[in-house]
Amino acid sequence: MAGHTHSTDDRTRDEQPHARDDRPLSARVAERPRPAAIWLLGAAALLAVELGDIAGAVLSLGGMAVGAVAFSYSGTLSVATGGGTVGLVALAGVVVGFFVVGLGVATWTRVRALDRVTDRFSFRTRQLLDGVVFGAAVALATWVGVTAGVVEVLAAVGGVVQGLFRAVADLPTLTARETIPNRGYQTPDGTWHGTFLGLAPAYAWAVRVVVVYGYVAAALVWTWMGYLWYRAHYRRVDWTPRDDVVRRLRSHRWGQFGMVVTFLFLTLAVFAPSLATTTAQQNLYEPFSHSVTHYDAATDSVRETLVGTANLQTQSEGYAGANFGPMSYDQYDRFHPAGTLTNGKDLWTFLAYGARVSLVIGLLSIGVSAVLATVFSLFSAYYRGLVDLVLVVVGDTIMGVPRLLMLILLTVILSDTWIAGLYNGGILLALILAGTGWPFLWRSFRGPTLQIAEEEWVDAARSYGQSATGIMRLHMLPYLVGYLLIYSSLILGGVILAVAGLSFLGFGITAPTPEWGRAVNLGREYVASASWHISLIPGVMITLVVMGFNAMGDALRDAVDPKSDDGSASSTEADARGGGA
Amino acid sequence: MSDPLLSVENLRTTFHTDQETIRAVDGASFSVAPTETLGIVGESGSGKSVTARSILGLVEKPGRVHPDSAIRYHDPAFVQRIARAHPDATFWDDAVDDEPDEAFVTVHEGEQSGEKAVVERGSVDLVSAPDSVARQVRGSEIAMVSQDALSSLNPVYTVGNQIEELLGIHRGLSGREATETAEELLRNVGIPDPERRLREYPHQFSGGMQQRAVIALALACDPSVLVCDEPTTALDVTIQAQVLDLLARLKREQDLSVVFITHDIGVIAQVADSVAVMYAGEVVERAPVDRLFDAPKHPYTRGLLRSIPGLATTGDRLPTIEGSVPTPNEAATSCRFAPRCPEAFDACHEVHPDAVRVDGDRGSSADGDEPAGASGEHTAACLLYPSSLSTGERVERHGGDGRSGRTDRSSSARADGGTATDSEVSE
Amino acid sequence: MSGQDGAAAQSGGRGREADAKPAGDAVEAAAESDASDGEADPLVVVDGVRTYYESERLIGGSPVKAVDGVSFEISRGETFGLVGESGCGKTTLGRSILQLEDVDEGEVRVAGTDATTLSGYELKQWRRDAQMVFQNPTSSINERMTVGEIVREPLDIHDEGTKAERRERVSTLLDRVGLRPEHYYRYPHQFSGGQRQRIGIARALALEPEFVVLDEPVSALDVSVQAKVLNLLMDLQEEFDLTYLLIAHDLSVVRHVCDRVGVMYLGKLMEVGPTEQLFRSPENPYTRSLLSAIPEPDPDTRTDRITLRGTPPSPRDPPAGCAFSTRCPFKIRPEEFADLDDTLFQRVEEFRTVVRQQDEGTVSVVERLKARLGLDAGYVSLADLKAELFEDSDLPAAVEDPLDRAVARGSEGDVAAAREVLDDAFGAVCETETPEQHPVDDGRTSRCHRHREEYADPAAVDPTTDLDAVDPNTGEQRDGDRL
Repeated sequence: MAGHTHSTDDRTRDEQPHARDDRPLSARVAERPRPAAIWLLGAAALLAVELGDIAGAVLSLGGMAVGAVAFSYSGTLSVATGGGTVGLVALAGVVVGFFVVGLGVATWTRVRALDRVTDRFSFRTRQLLDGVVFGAAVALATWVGVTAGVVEVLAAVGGVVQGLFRAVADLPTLTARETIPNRGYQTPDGTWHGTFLGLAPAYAWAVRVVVVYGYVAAALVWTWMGYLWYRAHYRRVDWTPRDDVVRRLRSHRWGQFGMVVTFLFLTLAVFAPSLATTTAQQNLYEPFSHSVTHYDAATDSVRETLVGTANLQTQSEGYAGANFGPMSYDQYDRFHPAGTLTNGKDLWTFLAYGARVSLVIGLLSIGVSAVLATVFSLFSAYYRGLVDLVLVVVGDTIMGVPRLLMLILLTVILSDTWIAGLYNGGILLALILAGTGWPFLWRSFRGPTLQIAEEEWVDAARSYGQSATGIMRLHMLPYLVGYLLIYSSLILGGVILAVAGLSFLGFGITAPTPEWGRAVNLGREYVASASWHISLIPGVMITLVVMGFNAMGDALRDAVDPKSDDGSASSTEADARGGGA
Repeated sequence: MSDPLLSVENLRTTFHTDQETIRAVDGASFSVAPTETLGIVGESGSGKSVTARSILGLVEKPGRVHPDSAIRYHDPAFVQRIARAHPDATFWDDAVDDEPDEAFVTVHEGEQSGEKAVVERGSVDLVSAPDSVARQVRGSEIAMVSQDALSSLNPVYTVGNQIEELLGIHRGLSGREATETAEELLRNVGIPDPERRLREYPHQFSGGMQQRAVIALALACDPSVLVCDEPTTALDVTIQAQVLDLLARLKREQDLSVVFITHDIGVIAQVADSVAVMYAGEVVERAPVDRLFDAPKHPYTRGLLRSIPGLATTGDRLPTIEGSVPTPNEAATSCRFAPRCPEAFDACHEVHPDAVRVDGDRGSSADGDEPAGASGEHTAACLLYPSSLSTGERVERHGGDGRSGRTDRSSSARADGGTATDSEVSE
Repeated sequence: MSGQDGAAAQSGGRGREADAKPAGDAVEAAAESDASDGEADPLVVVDGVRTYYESERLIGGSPVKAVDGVSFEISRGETFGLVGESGCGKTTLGRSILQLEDVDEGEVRVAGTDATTLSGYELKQWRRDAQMVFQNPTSSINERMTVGEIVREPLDIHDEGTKAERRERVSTLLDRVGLRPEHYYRYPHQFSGGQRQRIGIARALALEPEFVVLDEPVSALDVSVQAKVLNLLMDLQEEFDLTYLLIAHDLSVVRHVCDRVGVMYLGKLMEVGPTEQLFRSPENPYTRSLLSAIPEPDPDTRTDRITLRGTPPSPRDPPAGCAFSTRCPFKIRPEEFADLDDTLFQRVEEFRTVVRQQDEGTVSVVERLKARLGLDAGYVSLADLKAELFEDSDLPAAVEDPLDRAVARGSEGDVAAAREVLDDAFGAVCETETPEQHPVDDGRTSRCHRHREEYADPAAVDPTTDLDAVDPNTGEQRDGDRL
């Protein structure tokens, strides 16, 4: 038998010809329907269980979108017809808007209307004229539609759709708190009324927590299985660079720890209403509009007390008689997994909803920063020269100002604007963080992007006529994504810390919006007392979450870097050849 | 016949990774006589660079030189020094080449008197010698010049600093003396105004000058053997001519032996006295340089010489060798070139050829018992040779011989010569 | 073979202009492939192109004259080779022709259109006719895209046909360059260097260009793979009626493939002419030196080599006069030194080289001060240099006098003045005037003063190297290896 050797000239990972590579996905699935069918069934089951929640989410989002459109439509209409300079400006804006839309339609459909008519103008002029033509067409269509009453028709249709969604939204879901209620009262004979299966609230809550996390874990695992099956059976290409990334992530222990922590945190944030012991409305925002049913030993009867009053009686103030520590019940038959705050509110609920706030602010600020940093770095690396110089100067200026001072300053100055009202200052904070934080990200990206811009394939792309944006999108951005993910995940932890810090100082989120830093602030004086839980538990959670994101960032960085493989075949082969020609 | 200065016997260097095992050098044998230039030529993947690094002991994990290989350095003065320092590891025998396992010094002619031993002929096996001995060899007896001069020079230190550091370590020089010696070295390699150059950084040197500086570093400790791994590949043609002239002059002035590794056949023709052609980790042909170009014997050498544009007959298409160089992963049980060889026959895919003398070389010797690789001989590892024998006889001659350490499973292993068993499969 | 059929169908029906063009092209190509000079409507005309890279300093600083006045023509269907050593500007010239670098002066006309005046949309259209195959197969293709996407990208950008038609074309191209159809979906990193270069070639041909610039297409490949890729390029040229500009530093490749060759040195064309003539009897001194420096794969021809001294000067500060004057072994000497011993003249040249390097070099103010004060400055003083180079020799007064004057200037610390003294005494026309391109026999031009009537032709003069010189101390032969 001849010695087994690889022929390097023709070596590819799979020597067999793939006859099936050319067919569309449907044909490939039809060839092997079983895995797809199984996966779809599972996915359907998982979706069905949560259908109500999903429908509800779509409903609210859709409602916001429609509301925005309607508002802008009617608003513009009234302003435009209102006359005066403002009206004229609005009118001009509407005209420009139609033109832009027309231009978009023209380029997207690649219909060169003017090409058929005349050949005289240059390509650019023809493009613009096309835009005008299409814009006029769109404007005409809109006017016709409006006068013909299209709006009413749309509204009617919308109402029907809305009703449908509402009906679906009322379906019971697995992870809702109503499915496994944990609020009730206990009669002297020991039985619990109102809780799930008569279990004590602690156990009922635990069951619900397990169910929620279990569901999310199952959904994630099922999605992962779907990806693996797709890769094994249906994917057209037998290998992509992402496969290596996945392989490296699989063996990265520290990163897996990070992923677990992130999973826990994200589920907590998204499913806060289900994971908390009570709802934020009841306990945090409007305690005096809700009441709690409990068994009053004094009067030996079942009574209803306002939540607010109950809270006043369950404050943790640092000494034995006035402290409700972790995993304790209070006299109102309420269970507090993490104890209560100094104002009597349930700490766990506070933390659960606070996770949402942290997540929203974190994601928003990172998202905006990342977009700005990416766009700027692409432009500054591609064009260099003046563009780069201006960006560097601007970025350095922003970086030069002490960030904490900037944050405090801007928060205070802008605290009266309408943005500050959104989410109790959360959105404003996120935007300020993004605005002061993008230069750091941008500086980290600029180096690698400059290197990428020097690569020969960018030059090659220019040589066959690729546009600047095309080059940035196809030839530079994919190489930047790795850095993007890594630096963003590393910074996310920092953002959470920053917000917590600001809230601790009293500048960030205003009461009563829950935020982890505020909890730490509230418990500041009681750290050494019996109410240590108020500061410590949120503090530990902040640390864990930040560590988790850092770990994930580490894992992503190692996974994306193709040179991080130890003893990978390609690098050793180079060594085996003496590293030379 | 005088001893060679450096002899490599059955060198095997393997790289073990999770994914595969690469046998970069798989049984290469050759030798270099004093003041001779041996050219090693081959394409990428032939193992020539790894050979250079193995000689100098620069192979690191996951690479490993097989302990059965032998790299013998025959300089009597050096052998004497080592024999005196390691008397227990010295094997005194004037007849046999193989030494028992613990000994790495072999003396053929000399007086055994413990601390005052005298050696007139002997060798030190660098593969089995401990690291302390190998370090004495590296740099002061055998030095290396590699391809990329800029990576041999540390960019954050001046050139003078690096030369003086080397002089300090190996020759114990320092201060004024070291600087003057460094100047002399630079002047010797043809760099004018060396005082100024010593204070400059490597990136301030041009490519040719960097290579000269690296040559100066290599010669700083007066070695006997200079191993050059593609020293001029990255240089322009005119600068290459300068550097080759320089090497020729230095070789003459300092009585160097040179091992010159390259893929450029033209350079080999200009520089080498004898040539070894490597393919997939093995030496497939070995000959004096004019013999190789006049009458190449191995089909691979022939194909290689034919596909050079300069030598090609004017016509539109360049003759090429079909296929490409394989990466050897397992022990060879057949001729590695057979899949691409235009003259291959059945036995080529079943029998691994040894290096044998081709006929017409100082009279035909049917046995060819002399060790392959002695200077002046023309050998080829091909079942077509020795051409005076019939096909059947030839196949038997190549197949039955277990001397190279590979047991052929089909035929019986002979008692003589076969020492190592094939344990690679389990590795 | 289906591949060839497909390709024939493709080239038969280009769909862009009238269908009569391909047939006409074939006739024209047949007629002009025999013509060795660029007469009768050449496809590519390069006229006085200058490309400078601005110095990076904000104020002052001299630009790098990468391409300094290059003119030549390429006929349709021809392969024109451009050779030279590193730093000569050949890659920059190739890129300037394709408008990847901004041309500061001059014109580049492809099929009549001056590409230097185009921009925007017109430039993009023009790019369909002129494409490039890049040197490094690893870095010239984007590893994150599949092979199919890479080759298809030019078609996508220029909106050629429907998606299905593009896929079809890509498959045909892949087949034509020797890859398999399933490679469409593979990633480049799974291929070897030779195969990746084929992908680059396929991409360059996607838009059916007329003119292709090959920037060192095989220098990063192994010898045996080189041969295959070269064969492929030649086949494709015949099949698609392409015109090539081949940029290479490997002269044997150029000799085999090209019809005409241009030799560049420091941004200027030194010699242009038909390949065989140029290789067999080079006229220009630089070409002669370059060709003699190539190691011949024949051990018997070892001895008669011209080894050039020194390194090429920096393109930021090219020498006045002929760019090659600092190293030329055929340099015209001033009248009075015409009969001077070759060795002695070479020593004088070495002296002048060191002086020039010191003048241009990094001698700091502190070091100069030290020299003025007679302290050890860390670089050789001119007096010591003179002693070292001319120790035993008998110097005629005409030589010794300027040397002594230069040494005197040097000891005052004014190296620039020393250089001037030497230039005045030992410099001739080569160092003061830039030579013109002189026509030398049929279709060949060479840039050298010696082609002027008053001087002897380079072919008639022996080169000044001291190959024959004997070291007076040891009696041994000296090799011309000193810088």
